[in-house]
Amino acid sequence: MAHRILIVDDDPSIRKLLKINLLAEGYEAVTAENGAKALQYLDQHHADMVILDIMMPHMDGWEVCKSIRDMHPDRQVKILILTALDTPRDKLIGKDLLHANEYVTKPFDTDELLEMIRNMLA
Amino acid sequence: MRQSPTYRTRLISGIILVTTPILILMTTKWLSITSSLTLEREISHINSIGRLLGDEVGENLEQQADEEITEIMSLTAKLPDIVGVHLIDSDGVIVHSADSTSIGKMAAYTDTLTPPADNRIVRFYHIQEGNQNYSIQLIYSLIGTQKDMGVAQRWAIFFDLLLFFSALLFAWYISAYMEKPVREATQAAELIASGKFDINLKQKTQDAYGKLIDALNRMAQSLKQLTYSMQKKVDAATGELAEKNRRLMELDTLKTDFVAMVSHELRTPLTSIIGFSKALQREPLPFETTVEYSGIIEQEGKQLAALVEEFLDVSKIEKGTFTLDLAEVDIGEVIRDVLVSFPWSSRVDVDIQERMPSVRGDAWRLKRLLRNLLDNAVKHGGVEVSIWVKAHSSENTISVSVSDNGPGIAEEIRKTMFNKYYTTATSNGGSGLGLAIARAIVEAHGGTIICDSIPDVGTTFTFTIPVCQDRGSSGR
Repeated sequence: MAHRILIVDDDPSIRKLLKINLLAEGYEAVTAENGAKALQYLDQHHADMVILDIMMPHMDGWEVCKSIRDMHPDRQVKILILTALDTPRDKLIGKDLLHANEYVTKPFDTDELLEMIRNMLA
Repeated sequence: MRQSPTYRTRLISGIILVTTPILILMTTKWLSITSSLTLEREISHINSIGRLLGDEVGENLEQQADEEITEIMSLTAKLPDIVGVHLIDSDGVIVHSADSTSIGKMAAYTDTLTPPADNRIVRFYHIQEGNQNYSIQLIYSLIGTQKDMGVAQRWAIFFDLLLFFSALLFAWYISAYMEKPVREATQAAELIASGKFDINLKQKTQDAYGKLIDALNRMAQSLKQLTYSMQKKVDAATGELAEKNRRLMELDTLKTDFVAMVSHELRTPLTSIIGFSKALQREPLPFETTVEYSGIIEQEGKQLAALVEEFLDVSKIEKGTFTLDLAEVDIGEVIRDVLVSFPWSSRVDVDIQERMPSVRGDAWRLKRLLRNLLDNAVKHGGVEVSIWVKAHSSENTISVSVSDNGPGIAEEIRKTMFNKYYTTATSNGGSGLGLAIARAIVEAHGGTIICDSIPDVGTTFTFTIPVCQDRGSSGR
């Protein structure tokens, strides 16, 4: 059965870009345009991985990340943060404080990102 | 305090050095004067007795009354301090005497005698009887007088000592008296040195000490005032510094947020452009998909271009080189043009006054201004927001307002939102430059922009710019 990946980003182009690439790789891809919708989806459905943007209006990615970890403390849901924020401080918050599995900065190389997702779900 | 014994010792030594020789000199002189005066008095006393005795004895010698002579002489010898009374003939033999055992003997003293030798005064008084020469010899003892002199000497020494110790006491008292204000002044100066300026010394005299005390009091007073004013200045400067520091920190936070925002704003379209370009290269795609992807690339590219334009505008605003490309502009046309390309135009209600006067302005920048305001309304109010755009003119100006029924803007945010780099935590879709540029555009047109907002009711941005005066005259 294909792994299900939830894409959370307020930018429609990024959502579309990720979706077509993940679908091409054989994953099941679902999208959410903001944090609230993402959490609502996760409340009702299962996802193997969440690709999460940080700078989103109303509820930022940090908050979403924390909520997912609170919702599933076993860390079965893999979280890949995909953001324009590239300071060491932000990376530290994402990986060490909020326990995201990977932290990737925009712009990214599609092939490298797909390779990383493959390894995370292996 | 270490100097004061030296000072006192000096003063006391000085007084002793002056008083001691004076006392010694005065005592010596007084004693010598007293003794010579006493001697003179005694001698004149003896002389008067001698002359009286001479007269009496002379008369009795004439009448040859020997018994009378002896009786007079005995009476004389009984006078105090008279130790011998003799009548001597020209050969020096005693013919009559108060002491009968001496008669017929040679007189012990042949000449007058003046002390201090032998402690006696001897005097002769001549008597002539017929052709016979006699003389009366009077011997006066000075032992009693000397006893009196000794007493006087002892009294003199006693008074000397009394005077000396009085001088000593006086010196002691005077030095202590003179030292007191100096000691007080020293203590006061030490208090001043340790930063306590509340000294209030009593100025008892008008002399040098009084002036010193007065000067110290005034010095303490001015130091107190000086310290107070310095403290006030320091406090003011510290407050100012703290305020500046706070503003700098605020600015620093704004810049940090701005950098993050710029990063986000530049990287998001770049990610799409790179990602979709790669997707286009990967494999043969259906024509529709190719068009869709390249359309996204174009749109993202335009977004980047607009962002670059914003940065350039801000750079020009900062340098003061922000200028407009002026032409006659129909503001109604500007509004309609913007709405054509606005994705949420279906949510916009437009009310433009008929026959609006044209303005002299930069059409492209006015469109950007309007677009910015519309974008903000959607960004904060969400896609469900309702927007009203109204334009009307008054005598010399036209006003355009953009209202929404969004969440509203808090007053403290309204105060700063026209500043550069200002963005809210919930508006991740902006560079933070939009309103700063909007204000710069309006001000460059000679107009103003204001914002009214009621929380949970909505927000209205209104900009007012002057109408084109040329048009008014040419339309006549």
